[in-house]
Amino acid sequence: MKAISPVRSVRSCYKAVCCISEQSLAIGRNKHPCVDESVSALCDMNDCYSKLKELVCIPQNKSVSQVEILQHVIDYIFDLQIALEAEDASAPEMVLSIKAADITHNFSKEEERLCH
Amino acid sequence: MPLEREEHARSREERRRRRRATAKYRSAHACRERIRVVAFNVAFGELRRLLPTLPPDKRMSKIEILRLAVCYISYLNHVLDV
Repeated sequence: MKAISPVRSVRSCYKAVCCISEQSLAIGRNKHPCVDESVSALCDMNDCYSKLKELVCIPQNKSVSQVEILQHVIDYIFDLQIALEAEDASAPEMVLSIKAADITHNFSKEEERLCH
Repeated sequence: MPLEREEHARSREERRRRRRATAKYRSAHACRERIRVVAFNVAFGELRRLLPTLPPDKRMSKIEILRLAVCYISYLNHVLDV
């Protein structure tokens, strides 16, 4: 797979995001015998699809196939990255330092649960 | 259901079963399924390329891709809402 850095502009946040990605992957890989059955059930594919459906503003009652959800998610992330680059261009240093400080502290509890 | 409609439903069902039993149908269905699976995997590949990892081309399973996509979207939403 070709190595592409998707987050070209947000350099100081890149490390923070990769740290988060490492944490969420480590949780997935380690076998925790003490993990509650309901917690591991919450981490399965269907729950991820539901959560993604919610995050990209697809109404929950609408029946959408998994591949359609993926396509929406791809477009949504791409749009957010573009928006971030536009914002980055207008106020680079201030935006980056505020965001880098915020990133590790202000995740909502729900997203934290998914990552941990 | 009235008797006539029930008989029509049964013969529709039988016709469907007979159509699906042919080798030609099964082969076409297998081909459609392969295309569907390839499209599905291509979508996962595209999503994988958007996600920031170290190294950027690190191999990820489907569940890992979904979980990281959830975290990453939450992060981007948070950053842009500030």
